[in-house]
Amino acid sequence: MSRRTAWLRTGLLAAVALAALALAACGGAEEPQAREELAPVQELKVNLPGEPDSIDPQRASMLHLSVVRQLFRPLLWFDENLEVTPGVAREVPTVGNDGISEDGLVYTFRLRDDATWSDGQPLTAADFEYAIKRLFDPALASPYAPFYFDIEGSLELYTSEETDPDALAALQDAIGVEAVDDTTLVIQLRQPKPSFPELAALWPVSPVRQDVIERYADRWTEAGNLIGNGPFVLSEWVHGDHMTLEANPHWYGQTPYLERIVVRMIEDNNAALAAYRNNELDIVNPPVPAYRAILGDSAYAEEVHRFPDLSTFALVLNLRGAPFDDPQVRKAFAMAIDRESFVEKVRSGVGKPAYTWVPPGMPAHQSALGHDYAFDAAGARQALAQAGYDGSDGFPEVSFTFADTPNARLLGEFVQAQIKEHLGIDINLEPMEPRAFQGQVIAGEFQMSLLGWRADYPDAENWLPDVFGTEGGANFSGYSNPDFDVSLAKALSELDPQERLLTWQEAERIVVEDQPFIFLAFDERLRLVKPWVKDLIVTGLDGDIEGDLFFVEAKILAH
Amino acid sequence: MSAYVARRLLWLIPVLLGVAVVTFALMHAVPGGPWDREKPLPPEVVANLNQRYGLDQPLWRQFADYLGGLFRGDLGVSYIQQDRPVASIIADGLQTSATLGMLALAAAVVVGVGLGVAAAVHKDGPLDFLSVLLATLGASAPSFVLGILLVVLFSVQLHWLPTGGWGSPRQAVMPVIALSALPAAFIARVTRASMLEVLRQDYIMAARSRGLREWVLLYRHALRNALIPVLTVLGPVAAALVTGSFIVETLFSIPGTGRLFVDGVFARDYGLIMGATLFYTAVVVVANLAVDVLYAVVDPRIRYA
Repeated sequence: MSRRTAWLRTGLLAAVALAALALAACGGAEEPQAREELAPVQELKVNLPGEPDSIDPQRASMLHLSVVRQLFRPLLWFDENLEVTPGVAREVPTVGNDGISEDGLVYTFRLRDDATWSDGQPLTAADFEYAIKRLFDPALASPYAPFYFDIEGSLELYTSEETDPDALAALQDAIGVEAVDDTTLVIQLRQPKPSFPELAALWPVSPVRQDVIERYADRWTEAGNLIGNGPFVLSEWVHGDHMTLEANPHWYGQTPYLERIVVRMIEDNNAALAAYRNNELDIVNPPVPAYRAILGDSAYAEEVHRFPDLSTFALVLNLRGAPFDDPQVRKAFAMAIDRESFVEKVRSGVGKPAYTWVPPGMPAHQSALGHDYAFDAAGARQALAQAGYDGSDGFPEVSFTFADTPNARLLGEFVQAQIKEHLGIDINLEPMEPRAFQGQVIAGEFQMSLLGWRADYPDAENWLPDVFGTEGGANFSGYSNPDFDVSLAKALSELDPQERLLTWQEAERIVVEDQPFIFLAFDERLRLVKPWVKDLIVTGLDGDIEGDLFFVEAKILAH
Repeated sequence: MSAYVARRLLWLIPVLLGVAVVTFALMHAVPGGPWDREKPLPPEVVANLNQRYGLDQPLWRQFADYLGGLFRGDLGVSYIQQDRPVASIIADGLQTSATLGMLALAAAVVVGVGLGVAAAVHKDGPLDFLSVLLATLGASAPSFVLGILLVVLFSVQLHWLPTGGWGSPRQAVMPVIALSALPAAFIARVTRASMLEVLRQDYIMAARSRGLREWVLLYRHALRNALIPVLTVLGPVAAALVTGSFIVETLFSIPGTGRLFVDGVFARDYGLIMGATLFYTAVVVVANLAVDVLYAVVDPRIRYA
């Protein structure tokens, strides 16, 4: 054919192909609608942001908790209001039921006699004794062992340099955990610890099978090897791709409605969101930059779940040098930041402004505290003047160091703009690679930084000592106030719950007055959940996957 | 030839050793360690972790131990993957990445050579124009942009294909397209240019004047000569594809070796970093060797001492 015909023909073909694709794309498929009755296949599809470091209860970190919780259950559990409830232990030990001794040092856990492992073997107190002692094995290097150092003999084993197996066995025997009989576990503490029941509801004290661990060593958590005592079993694990959990036929608790939970491992939030939109996931954690679009889109109205997270974020000020060693400077900076605007602009309205550290949802939260440091541009400039600076003249260079993630960058830019606008001071932004950043902060080499803190368990003990105590392991700002330390010591040993609460609150008042941190916001979680997922019960202690404490209640509607 | 191949393979040992030393030094020089967390781990925990993984030993000792393990085929364990042996993590990932890579390579070669030949033969025609257009687009659009567009169109809007994962043929479609676009474009351009060059040669004109059928001419004679420059490009392309693309694997959640190295670096997982680096090195060396051998196969004039 002629040249021209050749061109025409090719052009026409291309045009037709594009038009067909455009039509198909615009048409879109019908979204499935949820109906009243239960779906024939009860399968929940969820996502974890990556392969878990470990699902061994004594070694697992908070990151991939959602899976550990389905496979293992500890002595106690939580209810929807985060009150401690029975778990494998059939009642919560109290002084009244002889579960706790008068001096608060001896805890007696009475276990259910119908508890079994997922292979049908009976679950006994000996399994708990083995697991808890294993928590302190120095060779295992469990990250959560220090939470339980109040157990008699635990610290000695964990920090031991011994290599002789007999010596190590002796140290292990000296730990204050004993299975008196099949259904009675007695734990001896070194000193009273009022938060111990909460600690007994956490995953590190889940029982594990000694014979399984001895047989498979490091590979005992693989599918087919792992035996647990939770409502689900691990039937399949394709590393890096997905895990499949199936209902445990030998589960002794409330039978779950779900037959199967498929846990994908999509690392990238955006890819996870795409998977959700393609109905490959039932629950997803959208990336923060997408919040605004999601909240504004009426199609998602039914699917957005927002709930308070037990977490706070704050700007960490390094008190060891200028300019933040001056309380007036700290005050100036605190008052120069409009928290309301932060929540509105940077977090798309998700979350609440924070003026204190302990978040709402925790019994010790104080909502009326800290408003002296609330946003007030004039007050901020006044405080700066009181510190001896004439406007921004002569103000030393300040760098804001943070881990380079999209969320943190948004926050950094916002803070920079606020300080510039209300104080006229230019601060430098220093985003860093996450590990390098963590190393730097731990070494105290920064002026201003960012910290997000989440609860491991719902007690102020988890919030104040580590971060603000002079000896605290997470005391990045170098804060040290002897009055605060005194309050801390008092609260840690106070047995009366009401007194304790008041002491924690008093301690927090001291911190807020000193402002070693500028508190920014209490986080709220935003999740998208498909309309056919019913009875998902959320709490502030949820792991990465919403509702993971109560998956036994969840159901899938037909759609 | 076999002596040549053996010599090249022996070179692998000093190369790997050199890479091991440099990587080891660099990864310990970089700030931040595997146990640094936002909520710092208590010192007792860090001490036990260091002891468990041998990080409390002096650096030279750690390196010596690593080399010792290497000779036994033991690449250590991964801190971020339940203490799984690095060797088996790489083996698993390799299966996936290699399959994806081979598929992408095949697609790139078929599409690239096809487009290039068509363009050269129909020079200045619509097919030429279209091929060059596609090649330019393929070369300009980064793989993640292409990947995201594909996901938005075929998964989110049309619900035709799954958004990611690995295992079924449907899951392979979009990653292969995203991964092969750039190599295909490269190959198309090189093939077109090379083909045009070859077609101008006297021997082609001579063969044509002797009445040789056109398609025999093209595929038996012209293409074989035109492919030599393409092979040059193919070596590094194949190495890159087999070791896995971080971007495509992250976007499509494919559990291959592409993510291993980056995940390892961000987590300071020393075993994974060393293992992945040595693995990539070996692949690149072997791929270059394979290309050189292929030259000799394709072009009888090339002989190695």
